[in-house]
Amino acid sequence: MNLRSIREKSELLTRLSNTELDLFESVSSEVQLADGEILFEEGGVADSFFTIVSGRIGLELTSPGRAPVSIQTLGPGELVGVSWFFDPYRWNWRARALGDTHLVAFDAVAIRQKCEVDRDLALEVLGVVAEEAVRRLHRTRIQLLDLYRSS
Amino acid sequence: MSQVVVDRGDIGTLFEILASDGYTILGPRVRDEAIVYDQVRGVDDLPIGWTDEQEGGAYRLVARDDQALFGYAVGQHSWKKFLFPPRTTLLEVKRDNGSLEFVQHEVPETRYAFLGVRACELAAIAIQDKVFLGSGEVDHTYQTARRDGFTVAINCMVAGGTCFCVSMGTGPRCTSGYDLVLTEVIDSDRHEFVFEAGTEAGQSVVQRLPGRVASDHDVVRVDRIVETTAASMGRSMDNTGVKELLLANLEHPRWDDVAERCLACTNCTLVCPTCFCSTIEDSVTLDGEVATRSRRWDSCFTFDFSNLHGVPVRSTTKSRYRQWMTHKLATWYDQFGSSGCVGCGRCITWCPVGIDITAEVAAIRASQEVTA
Amino acid sequence: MTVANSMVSGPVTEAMLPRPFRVISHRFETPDTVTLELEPDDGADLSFAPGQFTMLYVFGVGEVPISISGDPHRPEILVHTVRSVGAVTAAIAGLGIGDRVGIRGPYGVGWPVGHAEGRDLVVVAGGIGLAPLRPVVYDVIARRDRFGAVSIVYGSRSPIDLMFQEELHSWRSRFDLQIEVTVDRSDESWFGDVGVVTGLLPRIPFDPERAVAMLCGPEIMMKVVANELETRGVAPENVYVSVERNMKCAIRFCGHCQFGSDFLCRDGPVLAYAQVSDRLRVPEL
Repeated sequence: MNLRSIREKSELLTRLSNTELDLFESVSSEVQLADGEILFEEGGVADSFFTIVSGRIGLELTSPGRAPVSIQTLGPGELVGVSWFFDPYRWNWRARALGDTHLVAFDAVAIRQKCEVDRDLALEVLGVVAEEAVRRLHRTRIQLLDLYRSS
Repeated sequence: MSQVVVDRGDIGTLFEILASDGYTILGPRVRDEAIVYDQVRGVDDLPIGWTDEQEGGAYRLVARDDQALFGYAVGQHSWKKFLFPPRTTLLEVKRDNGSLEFVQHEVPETRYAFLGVRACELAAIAIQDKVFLGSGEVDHTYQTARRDGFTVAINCMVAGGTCFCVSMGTGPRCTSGYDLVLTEVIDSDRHEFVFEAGTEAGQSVVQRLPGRVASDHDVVRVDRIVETTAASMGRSMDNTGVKELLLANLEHPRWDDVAERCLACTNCTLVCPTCFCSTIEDSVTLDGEVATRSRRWDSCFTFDFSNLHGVPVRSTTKSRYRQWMTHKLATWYDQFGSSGCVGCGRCITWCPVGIDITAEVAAIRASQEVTA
Repeated sequence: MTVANSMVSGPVTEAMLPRPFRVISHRFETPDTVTLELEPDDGADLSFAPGQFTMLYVFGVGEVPISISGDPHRPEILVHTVRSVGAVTAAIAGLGIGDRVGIRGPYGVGWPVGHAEGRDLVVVAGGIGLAPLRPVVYDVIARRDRFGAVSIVYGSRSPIDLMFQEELHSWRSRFDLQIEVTVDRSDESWFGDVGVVTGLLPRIPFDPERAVAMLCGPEIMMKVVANELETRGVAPENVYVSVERNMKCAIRFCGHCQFGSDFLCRDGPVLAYAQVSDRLRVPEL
């Protein structure tokens, strides 16, 4: 898929240089999910990461005897997956499509291997991933504040 | 306006004139070892021969070595207790068969003559005029008391231990806002009062006072008294740019410092002649048929003053002290066009731990000069 | 001390006298929030601007400031959405049809709807904050052609805490505005967004250079959203928040509602974020 057409709307791709974008494009593929379809499972091997083109992904936690509960929703332009960059490379959550969802998937193994030899690339990708993780952390902290409860 | 000199022996006439004009005369008198404002019917009710010694957290009366009628500064009362009474009923609500009837409580007219209003107090009244009459709604109790009142001001012959009216530009000379102003003059050979009218109403009283026309010598004597008072202020405060100074230092460590001393006892707000905060209280008769809403004085130092959904916004003494001082000296300018402080020193005298607003400002200012 | 004579001068101030209103409908929006519709005994409409509030009095209990949550184009009915957080609001939530209350007002500076005309409008509400903003949405819908792109972003604690659910559905079914709803925590029934309201901002269309944003909710939420909007190019002068403080008189006498130099009953509660951001950063101001 031509990533340049979605570059501006993607938090991940907008930060990449043209060369980096070409690299990512070379390891990319498109994913189409129908409402309710699972993108990846909790505990699964994190060998891909994604940017959402349209639709939404809900991150869920499952526990025995309970229906799964969504803890955060990601929308168009957002990066799905940070665990792919860090050992042990496993998903902490299940990801499920909410509504018909179109994503671009990237080969995490290939990108990790490139980062081993190209430290500039590694820094760039780490920056993107860290920034996204911080943003998630910030939002999660605010969710935890339970702002709307009665005092 | 003409100036008239009245002898000590004739000063009782002032009371007679005001009483016959239908005024209730309110003035200084000794009670509970302090000089308070209450009804005075004659000269003998005044604190003759008394003066006050004031310092941070300290007030006591001391006998003078003369028989001056007004030889002291100000006590814990201010004229706001008459213009803005501590408790006022606002309205009654009658419940009848499910319907509610709201009935305003009418307040009686007042016709007060204030005897002994100092320059700082004239300034404080002018400030409260802006609060209660200035814009939007009008407080009728205040308005009537002001409209129908008579003010006899006094040029102070002593400065109090905590006074700083000179720093605030509010005294010690009375320049406006009075019907009459008097200066007490005591020498070895005379005890007299130099009167000057400030309004037509004041002029009408002056004309009825037994006295002689003031001479140039009398005028000079009054100037000397005022100068001496001005030169003996107990405190001073550099008020330059104080609004900007305080608002730029809302997280200065000095606030933590004063918070360790402040008891949040609310004395300062009670005695301050310009503080105007109030709260509304509700009560119901035992049979549940009639409810009343009343207004009473409140203080920003109380824990629940800033309650929002049951939790105070200003939960610490520090934030409450900061609120009081920054309101008084800084945000008051934006709200009412002047400082809220008139330099009367009451907050310093009546603070149980002697917190001194002039010292707090000086401390913050000094720290800025060091780092600037 | 005696008073010279007993002629009567009048009340302390007429502005403290409430008007009796009767409850004509009562519905629970959420377990702790109720919407009341009220009609005046004297039949005189209470015209108001979106964002204004009244002082609502319950016999013998007390009086509290409550934002008007109704339609400004229908002033004959006064609508209040009240969350039970204390003695007075609990009493209000317990009122029944036909019960009477006292109303004073309206008071305050409301939302600058006029300023938003010809521009994109972004309305962001958190929790009960949707109540003071609902009049804006009603007004905008009634005069839709005056505005650019209109978006509503609403965050609530959980799915059962969503208010005005009928309205939310009706707004969502319109083609001339976009509404995004999220919850902080979901339950098994919820398939909508989960997360803070800022997460929804990338989804709504607005020209940051010319958009006007109106935010209402917990202070932390308004700060976070205002900062996010600023990152996206919306000037703080075009972002408006509703600041809440203790209020007793609503007529600039009692001193309780001070927020820096502003008396919120008269200079607010709606203020431009550019005017308040410094003050909101100082704890316990």
